[in-house]
Amino acid sequence: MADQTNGPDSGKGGFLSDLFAPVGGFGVTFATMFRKVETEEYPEEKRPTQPRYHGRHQLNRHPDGLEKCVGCELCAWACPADAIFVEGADNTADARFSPGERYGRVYQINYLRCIFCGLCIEACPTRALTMTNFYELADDNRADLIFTKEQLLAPLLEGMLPPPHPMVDGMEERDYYQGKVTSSTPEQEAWVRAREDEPQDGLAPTGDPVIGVDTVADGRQATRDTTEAVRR
Amino acid sequence: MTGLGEQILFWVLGPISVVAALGLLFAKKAVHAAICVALVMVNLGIFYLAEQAPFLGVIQIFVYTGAVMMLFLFVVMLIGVDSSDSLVETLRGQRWAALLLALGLAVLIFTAVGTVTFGPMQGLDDVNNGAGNVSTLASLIFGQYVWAFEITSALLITAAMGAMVLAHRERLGQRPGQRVWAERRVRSGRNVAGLPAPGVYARSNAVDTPALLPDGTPSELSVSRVLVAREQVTTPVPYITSAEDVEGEIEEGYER
Amino acid sequence: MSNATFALEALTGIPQHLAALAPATTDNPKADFSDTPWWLSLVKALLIFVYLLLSTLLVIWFERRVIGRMQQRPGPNRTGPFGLLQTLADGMKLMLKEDITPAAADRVVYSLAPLIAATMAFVSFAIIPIGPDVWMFGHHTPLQLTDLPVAVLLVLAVAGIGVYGIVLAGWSSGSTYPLVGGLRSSAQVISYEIAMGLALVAVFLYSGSMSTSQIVAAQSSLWYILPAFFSFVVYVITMVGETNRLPFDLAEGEGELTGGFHTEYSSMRFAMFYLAEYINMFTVSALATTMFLGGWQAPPGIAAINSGMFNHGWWGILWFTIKLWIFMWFFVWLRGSLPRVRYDQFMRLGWKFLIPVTLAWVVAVAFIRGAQLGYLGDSTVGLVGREFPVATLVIVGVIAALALGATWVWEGKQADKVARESAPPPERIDPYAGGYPVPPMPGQELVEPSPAISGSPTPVALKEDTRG
Repeated sequence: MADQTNGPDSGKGGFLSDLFAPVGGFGVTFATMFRKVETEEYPEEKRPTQPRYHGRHQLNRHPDGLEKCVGCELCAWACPADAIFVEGADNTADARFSPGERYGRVYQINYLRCIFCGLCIEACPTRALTMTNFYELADDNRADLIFTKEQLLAPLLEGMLPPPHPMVDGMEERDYYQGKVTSSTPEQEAWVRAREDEPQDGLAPTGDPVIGVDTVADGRQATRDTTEAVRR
Repeated sequence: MTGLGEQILFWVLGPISVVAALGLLFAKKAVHAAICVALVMVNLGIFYLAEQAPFLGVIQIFVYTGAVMMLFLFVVMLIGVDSSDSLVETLRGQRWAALLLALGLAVLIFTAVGTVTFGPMQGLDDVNNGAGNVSTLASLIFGQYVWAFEITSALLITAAMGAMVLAHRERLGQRPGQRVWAERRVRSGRNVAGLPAPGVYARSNAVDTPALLPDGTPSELSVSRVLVAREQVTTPVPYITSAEDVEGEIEEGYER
Repeated sequence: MSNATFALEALTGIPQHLAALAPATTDNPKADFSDTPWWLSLVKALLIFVYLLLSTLLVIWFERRVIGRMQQRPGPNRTGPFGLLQTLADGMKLMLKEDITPAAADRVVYSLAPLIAATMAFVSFAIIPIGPDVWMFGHHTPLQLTDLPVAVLLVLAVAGIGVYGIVLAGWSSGSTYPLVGGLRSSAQVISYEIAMGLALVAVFLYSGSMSTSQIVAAQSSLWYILPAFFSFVVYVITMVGETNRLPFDLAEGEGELTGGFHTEYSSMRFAMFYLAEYINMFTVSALATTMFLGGWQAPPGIAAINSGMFNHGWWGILWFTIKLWIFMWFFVWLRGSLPRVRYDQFMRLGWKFLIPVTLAWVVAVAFIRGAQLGYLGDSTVGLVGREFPVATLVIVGVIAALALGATWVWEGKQADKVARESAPPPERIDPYAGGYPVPPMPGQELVEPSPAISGSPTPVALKEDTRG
């Protein structure tokens, strides 16, 4: 018999090895019991994200506090899921929120539609819109998952003043864009302090609903980098 | 007299057995009747246990209730789904004649048993306390009565094999394959394209809803025979009317 | 006796030990219930109930954790420390769920079926000896609810009634999947009940009684797992089949039958089935412990300490529990390692392999016991300084020879089958034999269709024939 398939070896050895072949599986499961468990115990241990992780969006500011967003709506047009809603408005002398002519008056991202693709960041001409590494966005109702501008604005850092306030003297939008403004000036501070006494009832002098709110000191935090649930 | 425990046992289980036996007679569904029989048999087993015959009692439960009645239940559950019981009397007056005769039999048994006098209770203590109930029974089965038991078991085996042989269907030809089935269908001219599938509607596509023929009537061929026999077929009317409602709304919208 | 002596004697002197296993003089229970008033029996029943429920809570957690580790994941570890309260949480969830009854269901039987299944599971535990005689509330009583001369048969009988719960559940749900699942499951349980009973017959032959306390007492010198090893193997297989556990859980196979007989059940009724399954597991494991592992007796090494100190009183519960949980762990190990068996393969295994082989084993054991008890002659022969009964040696030799012969024949058949399957193709073929022209394989010769040119109808006739 020229081509005979390799059958079991004749004799007791073959019989035994055939008899105990299924037991090999038991050995595998038994040995697996003593292997290290690969499960990550979230939320006690969180694996850090990569540097360019596509997390929650953030509207950035210039170093003196003015918002970078010019209300051009390019991000809304770029979004494949139609998750961004922008309405621009004019900057006036009294109420200036961004360098240049216009600012984003209404800015909303619906995180139920957002697919975190990052096309909006690629579209933004001023690098106002970037993505943070924050991903804990779970919630239980639709209203809370539509993030408004206050929730998306970057927090005020050292040297920043909350808008509205005029640009630094002698600087234009181009200078802001080129990074020549590094901090707020005392004149801007004086301008803001002079108008501190005006009512902080959530309305800008122009009647717009959004004013520069110190989001860090205020309860409504723009960046949710804590694990506690945010009550709104 | 017997001990208190045995009396309580009897007076609790006795009526239960009688009710179960009556349930067997008057139950509407066959499965209920089978359950009643199983209950009677379990009670019988317990009575045997109470009468100091533990082996017999446990075997009664194990073999009769656990195996024989289970077989009954299987048959009752599987067969008879397609057919329905006919309650028409074939003999005229059968019910009244049966009742009368049963009454007569009952009178006969009661008078015969009622006139019997029983001596003092003996019980099986002398048997059980010696070698034990099982060993004594075994020595009887395999000693004194071995021929009776062996011949009876041979008879039972023959009966089982006879049932198997009689019910066995030998395949006389090859199992018909796909091609053979198709040829048969074409030759007979019925359902050449196969049976129609159950109805698929906008809001349901369950197998118990028939499909609609071109003129709007439901097709009986599109649901399984078993469901028809079990009367589990639903009508497609709600799906048709809901579709018509939606169409009506659309037309109304056009007109507005 | 010491560990080493025991091992040596067990391995080399099995016939000697078997001769020492004289059967009980009576098959009545050894346990003495004379000092047990009725209220003490009630207390014991309650204690057994609580023991079983706690064990079920633990075993569900245990199973999920162990299976998790076998799959290289932690298992439940959120509810309570180490996830211990997970079963409790599951129980609460089941209690608070909506109790659905399908419209086509037979209401009375639908509610009755889980009750039957759950109750019968508990009843089986009544005759399991968990420990020897102890002093409880001033009475000397065995740690066993009751005992009968036919105790083990009672367990099998009650398991048979428990099957009613399953089959009635399947039927009363009023839909096809549960019906088929219920019938499958009950057919499975009944088939393997037979093999289980036969496997236990060998143990009855060794112990001379069906009473559990007698069987435990008869294992005081040698546990039956050694002389009745084959029975043990068969019993373990059948016990997995009886309890509908993997690899035999086809009645609950989600891919095939959605949920089998408990598809339509929810909330507490489903919890009853779930409970019944786990209690059944405990019962068959307890029975295996009692029959093969010496019940509540301490392992041989520990039993020798201080002339049997660990074999008295309440220590029995510890050994019993340890052995029980070894079986539980084995159940879980099986579940983690093996895939599900197909139904026809499973039935074939039960009826065509297990039952005949176990029958043959029972006959062999009957002969061995007959030889030991002197039915086949009393002569002994001296070997290596010890006396061996001739009849036993002869019987054991004959059985070994038969086993070897059967193995040899089977091997021959396997070799034949392999040779047949790998047989080379025939050298001459008729290419039109199957109705369609088939090209020849390398080395084959064609049979020329004879008068093809003259148009003889013979090849055509051949074609009609083979199409059937």
